[in-house]
Amino acid sequence: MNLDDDAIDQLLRALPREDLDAARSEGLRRRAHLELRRSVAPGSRIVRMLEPLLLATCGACMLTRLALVLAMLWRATQ
Amino acid sequence: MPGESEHALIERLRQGDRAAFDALYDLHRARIFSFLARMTGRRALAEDLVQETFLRLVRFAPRLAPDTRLDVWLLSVARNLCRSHYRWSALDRGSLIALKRREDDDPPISPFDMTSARELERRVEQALGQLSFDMREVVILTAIERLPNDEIARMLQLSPEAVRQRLSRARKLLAKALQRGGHDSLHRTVPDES
Repeated sequence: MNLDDDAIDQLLRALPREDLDAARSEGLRRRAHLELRRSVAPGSRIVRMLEPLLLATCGACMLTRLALVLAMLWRATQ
Repeated sequence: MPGESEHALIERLRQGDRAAFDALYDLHRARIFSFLARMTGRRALAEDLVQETFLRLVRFAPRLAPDTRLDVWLLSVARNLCRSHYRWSALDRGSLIALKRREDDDPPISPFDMTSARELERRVEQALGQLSFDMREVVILTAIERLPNDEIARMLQLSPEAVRQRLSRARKLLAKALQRGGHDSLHRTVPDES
């Protein structure tokens, strides 16, 4: 007998759906609550707002330094 | 909260509402854990990865679009975490998942049928565990999680045709593996979804 696609899918869907045990689930929940509290703390909100500016500044600074290093190397070869 | 839409819960989660997190966590936890357990074949690893998945939900909640399909988002995150782990460690792909059955959820059936059904489940789990990671994820996302093909293609960064081909190969391998073990139990216990 050939098991067709539908039969295969039915067998797979009949597999029991498992869950975390209660203790582990509770531990995860508590950890997530802690993370939630941190994420809405005023400090982290400010960091999130400034993040794009900080990244852009760091990027610009790095490019400037790279340009300076290349300029120095070029001068050294002259 | 009863009957609250998922979008409303996500919005409240963005404000740091713990009750909203609890509601979303209870809604999706078992599904994500089951997915990870079948992908990894290791309960302890699946527990670690499901924890990381939901912590990422908390961290990325402010950036979620209002119309995000959270089930797909969570499965994507879980799948990517699993793949990252798979790349960096040797997983025994042939191992069986030793998961505790929840006896109280089983409908009353005869001891013979119970044994037969469990044996079939064991064989299906084993056959699934023997597939490659790529094939296993496509089969689980299609057959068990019932995601549409285009959604899976987006998640796996493949074309829909590539997903279909992978799925077809996976089903053939599963059929072959299951047929090797005999047909009688399959006739008796394939569930009728009508």
